[in-house]
Amino acid sequence: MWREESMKTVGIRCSNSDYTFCILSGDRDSTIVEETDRVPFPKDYSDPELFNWLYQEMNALFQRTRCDAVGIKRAEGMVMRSNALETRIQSEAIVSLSAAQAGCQSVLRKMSSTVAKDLGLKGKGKYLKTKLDTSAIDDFDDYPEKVQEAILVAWSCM
Amino acid sequence: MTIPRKSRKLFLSLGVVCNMAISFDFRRRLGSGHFGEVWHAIDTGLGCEIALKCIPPDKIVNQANFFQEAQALKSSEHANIVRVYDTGVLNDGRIYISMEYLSRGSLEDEAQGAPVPLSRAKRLMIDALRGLGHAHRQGIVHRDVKPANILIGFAGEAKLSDFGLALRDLRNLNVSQLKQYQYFLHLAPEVRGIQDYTELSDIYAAGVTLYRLVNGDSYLPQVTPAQAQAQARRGEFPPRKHYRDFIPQALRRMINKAMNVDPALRYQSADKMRHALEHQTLLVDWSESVAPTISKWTGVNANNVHYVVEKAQQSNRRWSVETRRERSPQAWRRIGKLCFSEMRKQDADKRARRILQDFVNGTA
Repeated sequence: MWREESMKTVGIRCSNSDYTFCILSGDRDSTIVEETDRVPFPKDYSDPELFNWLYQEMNALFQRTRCDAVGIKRAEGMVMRSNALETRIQSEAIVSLSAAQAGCQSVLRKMSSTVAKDLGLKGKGKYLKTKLDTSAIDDFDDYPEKVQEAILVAWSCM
Repeated sequence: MTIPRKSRKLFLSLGVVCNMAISFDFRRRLGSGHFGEVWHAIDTGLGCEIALKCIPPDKIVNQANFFQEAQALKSSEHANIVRVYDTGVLNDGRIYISMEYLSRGSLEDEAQGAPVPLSRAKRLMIDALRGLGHAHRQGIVHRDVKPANILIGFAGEAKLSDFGLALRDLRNLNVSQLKQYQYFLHLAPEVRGIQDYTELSDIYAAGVTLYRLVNGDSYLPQVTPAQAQAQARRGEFPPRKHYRDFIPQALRRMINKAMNVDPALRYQSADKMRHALEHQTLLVDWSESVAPTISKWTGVNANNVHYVVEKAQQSNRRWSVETRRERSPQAWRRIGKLCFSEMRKQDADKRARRILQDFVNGTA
């Protein structure tokens, strides 16, 4: 039964103004990108309203996909020093909570270096751009950068 | 305590086992209509308040499945859809559906035909569209999206209700068993028979709902159902250019897109319409009082800052526009750059409209 063996993973990349997700299925050698999207945050929402909105979005996403694993792209060092970090970390916490509630077996937050390591490269984030073979993912280079990041973090969870 | 012979025979033929131990304490009738009644009741078994919908079997839309409404609600369980607890047959033979009781009633009860503040209309419609999108993903077309079928939850959130007309898997349904009920005000122009209903006809109905919420029902022309249908097919009902002055162009375009006569040009899903609504900037809620020689709009933003825009006739043909802001309680300050005098009426109308919309957009 191929369907039972096939793994479904979701990759999420949050920012302080939107979230980007991808849904992957198959395995590491033959990966199908089922869906990708970048969803901007609503305008004129207060922080509590925004968190509630994101929570509802994530619930809908995880209930719809029934995924086995969720990869969340963590902020890199540069972002660590900016004001965007707070919103991003709060958003990532909401994603983690929703995924856990939906029964996802594995929910991991990864920086680029960890993603690189899990994809068989030496643990440096820049290798994802210079040394990674993404031929198993159709048209990978055509996706916007945020979607690529979401795909890679989901791929590394397969 | 017996089921009438006719109904009993019918249910036994359907293989339904009636539970005679169910008991409800009927408190107050919340509403009644063609489909029967809705009661505020106490489920004595669960010990909780419920809304109990009681429907005579001959009024059920799908005569092949008397429990279709409850089943549609059950399969669409979602935070923005009214919860169903139970369904069955009452002693008098009517079908009952026990649902969560929401004491704040519907959006129609709340608005009473008046316009709803923009920010509230936005949030409630976002909730309703989230529920509608979920129902669509379960293969259910609601067919009756309107303010009366959007209930207000305890946290102020909107919940889509009344799945009495809702149908699942429309393409494969035996339509000969279905009753042809339609709500003409919100009926999409492409719908002539039951099989014409799609998710996109729900999107159209959601567009009309939002139109009514932001404008109030007085903006809908008084027409007969036949006229409404004919005008809807020409894209004239609801009137696409007739909006309250303070409603920004972006929101008008969004609502008009949802109500497009051509289904292919509407939002292609409830989620797409919801995302478009989420991106509307609606920072000031205006309420208006209009008279022949003076119109006054009072507005408030999320920080509780109040504004007043007043358009008044100065002399026979000259008009003025005054804008004021409340600096502190009861201390109003004139905003000089937004005050104009000695204008023609058309110019004053245009100025006032621009000022109102700029406040809503945050560009004033």
